[in-house]
Amino acid sequence: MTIKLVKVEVYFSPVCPHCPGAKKLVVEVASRYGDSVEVEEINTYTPEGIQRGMANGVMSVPTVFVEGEKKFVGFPFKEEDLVASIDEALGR
Amino acid sequence: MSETMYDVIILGGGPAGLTAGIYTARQGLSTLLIEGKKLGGRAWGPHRVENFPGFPEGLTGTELMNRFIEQTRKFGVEFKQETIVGLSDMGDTKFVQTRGGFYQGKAVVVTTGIQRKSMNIPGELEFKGRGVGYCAVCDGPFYTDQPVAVVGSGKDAVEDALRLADTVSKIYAIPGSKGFKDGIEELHELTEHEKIDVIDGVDIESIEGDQVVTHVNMKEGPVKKLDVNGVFIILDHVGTSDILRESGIKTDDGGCIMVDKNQRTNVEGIFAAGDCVCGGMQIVTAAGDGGKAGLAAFRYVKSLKRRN
Repeated sequence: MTIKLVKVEVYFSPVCPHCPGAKKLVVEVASRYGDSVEVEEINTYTPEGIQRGMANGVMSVPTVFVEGEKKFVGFPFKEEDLVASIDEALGR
Repeated sequence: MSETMYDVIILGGGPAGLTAGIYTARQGLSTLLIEGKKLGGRAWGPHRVENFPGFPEGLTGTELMNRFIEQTRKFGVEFKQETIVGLSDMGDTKFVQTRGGFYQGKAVVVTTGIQRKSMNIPGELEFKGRGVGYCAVCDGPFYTDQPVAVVGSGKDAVEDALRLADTVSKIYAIPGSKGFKDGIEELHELTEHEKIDVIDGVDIESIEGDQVVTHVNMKEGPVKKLDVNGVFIILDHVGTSDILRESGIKTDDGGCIMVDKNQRTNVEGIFAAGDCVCGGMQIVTAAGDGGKAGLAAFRYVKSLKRRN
């Protein structure tokens, strides 16, 4: 059986009060999927991070992409919506 | 983020919140009370209170609230003076975000009173995250060498505009029709800054754009249109009613939180009391409902401990 890998990207800033909550929720939800979901955290307070964010249309943190698609801007967002996005990307 | 898991987090430090704290802390629950302004809420002040039972001679609102605060401290409630910007329900854990930090609790008691409403500028919600932002220090780097507007009349707005000036190409500081508040030390620096234009005495009519923000329209005055790529809305206090709506707590058409007879909201583990539930609007009713909410939170936390 092939395990499909879905990538979840979280753009964050170390000075953003909403970002820890978003990161924590993403990591918690992703952990339920085992190896099927990979999480990448991108720090927009680094030259590489801000450049990558701007290239992908990020204008605010936290912003969460699921499989390359911008899904959530700001926090809080609902856990069930994140689960639904990942399930959709996994083809469930 | 604070790693501490509080049993109860109380949002708001008026008579309802302080009384809820007395009830939860006295039962041995670790309790954090967050108030963005002054403890005592609307009850604080020089007005005479002559209808609070137990004080037949009457006393001032300040004197009465100082007694509430002293009693709450006595039972070990922890206080933080921070503006609340978010509340989210993750089942057995509730997350509270403030301008200064991030806190976790098993139960939350909302006693935020009557709050200032959001600015509700046309286009604000439509372009949220696509040019409209609420945290200049977080999102400033996305506007490097671009023009932005900073909307707000308080110290936070002035400070954020000055911080952004290091990054962006141009700033329009827009305090609104009533101008900046008195006593802001950094105001002189703002008005003298070469990158900052203060658009004083006029409100924003709308935020406009296509995929992202392109400009704002002003209601009147010599400058009708400002070309900007970002609009930072820096309110002194975020409209708590909006925060509550985002967290899923039901309110009625007037924005009052809906609770049952035990002060429970529709969200398990979140309770509410005081003016925000639009009860009696009296110190005594706020305190009474706060006590009920504290007891209900205590029972809820105990049930969680039994369950886990």
